[in-house]
Amino acid sequence: MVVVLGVVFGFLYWVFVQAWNLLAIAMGPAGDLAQHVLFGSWLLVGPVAVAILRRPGVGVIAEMLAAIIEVVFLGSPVGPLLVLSGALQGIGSELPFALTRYRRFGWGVFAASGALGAGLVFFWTAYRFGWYGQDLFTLRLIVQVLSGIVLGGLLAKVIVRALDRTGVLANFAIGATSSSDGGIPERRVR
Amino acid sequence: MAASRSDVSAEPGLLGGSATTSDAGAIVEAVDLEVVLPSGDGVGPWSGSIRAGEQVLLLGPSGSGKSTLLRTLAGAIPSHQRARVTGSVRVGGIDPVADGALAAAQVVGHLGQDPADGVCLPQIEDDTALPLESRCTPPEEIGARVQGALEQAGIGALADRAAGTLSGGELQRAGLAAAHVARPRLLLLDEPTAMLDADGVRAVRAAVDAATASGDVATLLIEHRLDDWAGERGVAGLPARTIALAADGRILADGPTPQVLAEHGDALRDAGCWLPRELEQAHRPAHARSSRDAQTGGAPGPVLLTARDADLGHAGRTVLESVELEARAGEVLAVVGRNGTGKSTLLGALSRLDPPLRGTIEGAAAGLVFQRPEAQFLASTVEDELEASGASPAEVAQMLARLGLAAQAGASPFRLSGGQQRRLSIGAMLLSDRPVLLADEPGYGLDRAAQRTVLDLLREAAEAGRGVVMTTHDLHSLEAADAAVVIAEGRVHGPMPPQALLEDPDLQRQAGLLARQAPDAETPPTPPAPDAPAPDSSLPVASVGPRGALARRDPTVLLGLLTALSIVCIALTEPLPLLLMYLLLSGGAMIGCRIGPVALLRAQLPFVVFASGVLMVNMLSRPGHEPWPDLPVRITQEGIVLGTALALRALVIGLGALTVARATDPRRTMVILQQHARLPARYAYALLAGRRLLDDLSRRWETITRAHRVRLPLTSQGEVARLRPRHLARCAFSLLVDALRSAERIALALELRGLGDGDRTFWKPSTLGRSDLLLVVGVGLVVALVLVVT
Repeated sequence: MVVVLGVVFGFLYWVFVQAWNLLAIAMGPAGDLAQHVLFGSWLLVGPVAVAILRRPGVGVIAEMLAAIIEVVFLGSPVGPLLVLSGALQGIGSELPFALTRYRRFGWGVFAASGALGAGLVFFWTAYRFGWYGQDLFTLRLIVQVLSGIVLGGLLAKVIVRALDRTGVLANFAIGATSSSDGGIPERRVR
Repeated sequence: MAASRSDVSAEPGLLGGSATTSDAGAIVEAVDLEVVLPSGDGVGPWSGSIRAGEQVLLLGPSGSGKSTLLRTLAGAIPSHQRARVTGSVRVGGIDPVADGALAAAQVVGHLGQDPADGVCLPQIEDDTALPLESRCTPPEEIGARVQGALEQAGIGALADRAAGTLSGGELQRAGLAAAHVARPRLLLLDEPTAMLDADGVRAVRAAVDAATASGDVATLLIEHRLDDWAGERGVAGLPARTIALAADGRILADGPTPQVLAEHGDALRDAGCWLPRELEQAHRPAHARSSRDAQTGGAPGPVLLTARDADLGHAGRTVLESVELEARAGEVLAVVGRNGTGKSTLLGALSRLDPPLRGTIEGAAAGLVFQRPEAQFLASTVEDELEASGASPAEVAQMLARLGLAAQAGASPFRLSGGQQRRLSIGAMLLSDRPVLLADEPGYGLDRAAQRTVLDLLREAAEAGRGVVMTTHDLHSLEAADAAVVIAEGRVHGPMPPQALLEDPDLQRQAGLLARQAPDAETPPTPPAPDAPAPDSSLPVASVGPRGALARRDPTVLLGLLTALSIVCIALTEPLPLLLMYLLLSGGAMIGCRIGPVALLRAQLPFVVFASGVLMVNMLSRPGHEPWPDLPVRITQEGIVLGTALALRALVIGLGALTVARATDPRRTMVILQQHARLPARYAYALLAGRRLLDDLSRRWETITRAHRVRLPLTSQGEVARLRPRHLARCAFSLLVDALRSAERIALALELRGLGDGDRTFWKPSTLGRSDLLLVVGVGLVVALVLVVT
């Protein structure tokens, strides 16, 4: 089923990259700061994957696959090191779910997932871009974590819930738990 | 049948050969096989066998579990779809229920109904080679077998084409080649022709015949369109044996096809099944309603919508010329024509989505019901879906009852069955209160009962004084119309009475209702059909292949070099070495990728914008020595130096990434990454399949946004409204649901091509050569030199 993820997240990232490119050009030189505001959207696939599949590791794998897609198919200007960023984001996003042993999927856990996903990778990116020593350092961190909570955490929960309602997730782990009795009923007699 | 063997896992390993079976030569053996889905619907219990080379038709109304049974044999249940399976089944000695699709792939080939999923990988021959690589076929044999399978399917000339450029019929034949190339013992065909016109059906049929000609492959076929499948031979053209299911999923009959149809035809027909035409006519009387024929009579009502001397098309390309058409109150008008001739173009123009290129469309507002109802849903419950058309709660309740959806009022529209979804989308459009109702293939993919209901809904709308225009490619829907126009060669012919069309085979051939080619004629590969989605240029596709010396190097090596370079750059904080590297890299990129300086600079524009931002932020925000204390803003020397270095760092890495992207073909990179970088094959091919899905997304996005636009109230000028961000978000969600559904099917298709974690061979292995080594050493030396000099 991880294969499904690869396919769907390829799609999700394609959408993000389009939006991102437009925005980067629209923002001009302010793009360096604006990236923190939208940062959370890069985290989306991690919590979505974990919430749907409920298996250890899928959050990290999903983020890394998404990074590979960006590097190989979309030619990301960050280069192959993006895969490392992806791994860090995935670890951060997945950690809160792992701590609940993949049993709790409330708003709080999603928010923590977004915050950690954004926070953990921040320090690596900060090193990469030389943010240490800038006055803006704290501001960057705060904006990025907030964005992570909203776009990379709470929004993920909204999407997962909406998808679950449509029934397309019926054959995934989330489908098994969300159906009323969790099992398959006796055959209906007609 | 084999004796009491109720539990599969109780006797592991005993059933490898025919020794334990009572029927030697059986490919499929089932004992009390029963599958129950989470909905409570089930199929079986089935006890029976299918012998090598046997051709079996699986017949039954929608919801009787035909696909469920087929998917169980393919190993998709319960590994890909939740269900409870009891009893036992063996396919070629394998237990598909316990071992899943990956194990079943060794003996089973599978082809589904959606051409978009029939081919998983972006390029046809790669897709056909996948099952062979998974089975560790020696690489030197793969090429010949791939070509052989494609030629057998009649598409030998399409081997190196991108999947996105093929027509539906060609894609299904390519899918068949992949299903058959590894010589399965059982071929499972789940409505392989559902989305094709008569010519497409004929070509796929020919390909299936060629694949099974050797006589050792058994086939199990689900098919609604029995007449198109059988061709002129009628019942004799169908598989010799039929297993018929009743509506509740129990086995109704199993025997020679003519006998089953003769004995159970009435029961199957009443349950909602299509039958071959010759039998439909024999069993006729029951339901000869519909067409406003002589006795119900009455002159056609007033003209509601007129196309006058209109040229129609998109993006400046004329598809239909000088269209004259009238939609009248009280009349159901059928539009027939081959796939890709412009039926949808006509509806798009009549609905005011696309203004005519020339001429006029005048008259009342028209609502358009899209072919795929899911593209058009914009609310989260069935009830809200109807309300979204601007209807009052009372009207909604009345419509729910009329559509027979009262029990589903609170459910998500996406959870409905195909027939229910179609009813809902028509009901929602009826509530929007537009005098003309346009429907794109309203009956397609439905069984007899569901299609009847839909056609009755359209008929009622006409009787209530609306004008109805529907496109169709099946004769049953045509019979229900009052008049028909035929679209062929860029023109609209007619209107004429449907009877005139039904009695004229030549005209039917022109309209794509009958196949054009003689049954035994060769089916040559066709040029890309006009209905094939055009490869989209807005996607980051390498439209021109990679060029230059670097393109011949191994992508893993290039990516590795880029990684190393990135690490070196990140460790540097001085502008000078970074500047040198940037200049050297620019030279290298121009030579290695044969790209001109202007083009190179233009491609870097986004990086330059970003880098200038980095420089500015650093200048302004880094504490330190201020060379110009009088300025209103604080600019520091440290900020300038470090900012320049950081900006250059971004530029170097960006340029490197750009160079590698120019020099590599993503598809080849993915395949090679699993060879040299140990990327698991499952992931590599899943990503490639995702790439193929991406190619199709812009087309799907366009369909969905158009479908949503016609749901919005018209503007005061009577035009179709634009979508707002709220609507776009809804469209994006629809697209996500669509992508998830496709992804599930693709994931299964990949497993059925044997894609797992096991050993595999590579058809086109890549070997690292001396030039790759030279490149690494060369780049290493240059970087070291730069570091030493500065």
